[in-house]
Amino acid sequence: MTYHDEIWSRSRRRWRIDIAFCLFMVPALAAAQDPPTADNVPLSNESLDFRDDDVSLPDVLIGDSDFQKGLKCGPNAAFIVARRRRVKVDYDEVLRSIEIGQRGASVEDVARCLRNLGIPAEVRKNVTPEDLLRISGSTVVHLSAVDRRSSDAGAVDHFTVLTGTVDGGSSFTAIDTTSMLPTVYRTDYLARNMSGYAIVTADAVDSGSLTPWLKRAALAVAAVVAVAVGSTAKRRIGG
Amino acid sequence: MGMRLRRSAAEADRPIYRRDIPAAFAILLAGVGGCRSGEGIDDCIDGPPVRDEPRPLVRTTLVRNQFSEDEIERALRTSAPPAYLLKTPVTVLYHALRLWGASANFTDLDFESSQLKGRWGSVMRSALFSEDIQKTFVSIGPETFFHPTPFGLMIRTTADGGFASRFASTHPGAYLSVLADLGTPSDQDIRLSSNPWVPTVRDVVGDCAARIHPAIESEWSASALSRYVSGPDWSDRFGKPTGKNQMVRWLVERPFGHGSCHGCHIPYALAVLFQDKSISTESHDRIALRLDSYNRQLKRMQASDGSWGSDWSDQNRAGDLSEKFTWGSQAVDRLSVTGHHLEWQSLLDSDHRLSEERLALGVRFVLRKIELVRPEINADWHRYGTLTHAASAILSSTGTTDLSQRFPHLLR
Repeated sequence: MTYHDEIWSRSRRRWRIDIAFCLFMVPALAAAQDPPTADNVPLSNESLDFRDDDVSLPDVLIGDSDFQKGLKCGPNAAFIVARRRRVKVDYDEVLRSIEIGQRGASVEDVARCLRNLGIPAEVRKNVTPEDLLRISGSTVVHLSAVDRRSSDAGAVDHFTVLTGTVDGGSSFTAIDTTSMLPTVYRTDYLARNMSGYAIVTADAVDSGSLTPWLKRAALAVAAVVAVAVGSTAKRRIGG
Repeated sequence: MGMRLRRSAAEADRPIYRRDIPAAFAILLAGVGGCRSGEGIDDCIDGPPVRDEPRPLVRTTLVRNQFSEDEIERALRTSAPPAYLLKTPVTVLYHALRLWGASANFTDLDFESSQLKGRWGSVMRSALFSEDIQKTFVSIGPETFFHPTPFGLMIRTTADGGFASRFASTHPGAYLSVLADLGTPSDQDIRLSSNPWVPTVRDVVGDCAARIHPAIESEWSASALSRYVSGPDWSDRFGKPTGKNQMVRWLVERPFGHGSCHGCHIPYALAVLFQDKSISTESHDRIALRLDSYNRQLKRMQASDGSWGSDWSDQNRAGDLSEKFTWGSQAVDRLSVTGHHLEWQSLLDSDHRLSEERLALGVRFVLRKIELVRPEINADWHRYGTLTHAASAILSSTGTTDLSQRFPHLLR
């Protein structure tokens, strides 16, 4: 094979990959959707203290050791969010729907559980304390760092549910997923211990996301680029 | 409680949103996949460039030939670590090592823990780098403050609360700051008892740098990172740009007196950063301006005996009470604040510090009071740091950079 043949062969291989990518993207683009929102769930329905009205936790479970046995902060977080949104759900049902592994529940399993309950829930990463100030509604936050090296790191990973702010953001109100009681986290504590992963369950204000008209423009540009890439590839391979 | 994070699975299971489309085409056009995938959440984080050894601090002699060797030696003897403790609290460990260094043996001290006798320095230094030794000699509980993270090795502090506070270091960055004062190289191993991974000081720097934030007290982290990190910029663990210049901004905006130890560690951190050649000219100017304000405030608030009290910043005045006592009495508070201020003054050149007369007055106060308050401090080890800051101030003010050269007999 000559040098030019080799180059041409490589070029064809690369274009095949690009075409395959485009072919993959077309159905994906067709199926693309907007992120879940909480438009259908008014935030005013949420009460700061979830025990103070008809969405109260059954007495038998408040401070019950069942909540504290095992790595249940994930299911407990989902249960708290569901209760605060007045979604009728049985605690055992939540427990059954979230797999608890050696290191607890996965962030995506907790979010999926919430979505299955009809609650818009999206996993976000690199969420900062400043971002939390802009997010409304119950937010499941993962505390501490994820340990890739220690065998017993699960002991310090934790989900908690933030419910609001105090003093303009110097602290956050929360419901602890172990005691199931309202608590307060100082912002410096969260700043040191948040991993950056959070499950946003409301129509969150996200400064990083595109505005609707920008989304439409991006979609149009994407379509034009796809057509251009496809036709160029066809010419080069065919020609 | 725990969680299992499956980043790749979580990403894969999520539906494709329209907002993902530009990113998908960016990947296609760039021909690269961006960050490596599937290896953890730190893939996109630019860690800080770490020096092989901490940048040494330049100290200047504040007062010359005004105090006798005897006076200084007596003050130092007063600041020996408390021997009556079976296990050493973290704050005592840090303060004592910072003053005395790892070569201090204290053969004449009758330690409650017999294993410390004659080898205090080497054991205490080892406790910084070995979980097993830390558990044996440091009053910290069944766990230690080391916690491996995707960014390196986290030093958990009392500010981390809840499950962490029992096994915690004192302030964010304080551990690393002590290591810098001891001149610990970045490749120093740290032995974890239940983990085969052998991190180094470099890993502590990485995690500390990834975790800085304006909501967290930054004074110790700033002092430590300024000395261990060579460049000015890096990314925090959320992927946001941060670095020394940001820390300068956070520190200069803090009001006088806010923070631990009556806010005295903030000007110390600024003085350390002032010696850092890697910060921007703008940051350098900001620090100079702020230190000038500190000096004006100190001039205004210095007592006739040369001391400053907890009211130095005007923050601790409450009605008719002239001072609140943080360390149990006015005398200990004044010794603490005066010692702290003299320490950072010794990091500055004559253009940016108080006059020699004022500083000499302050050193005189410390020398006079340090022996008088020792009994109070013996009654409560929480106040031990007051002594070491005062003693460090005396040493640096009088131009002693190496204790082992000037007072070798005190270390035996």
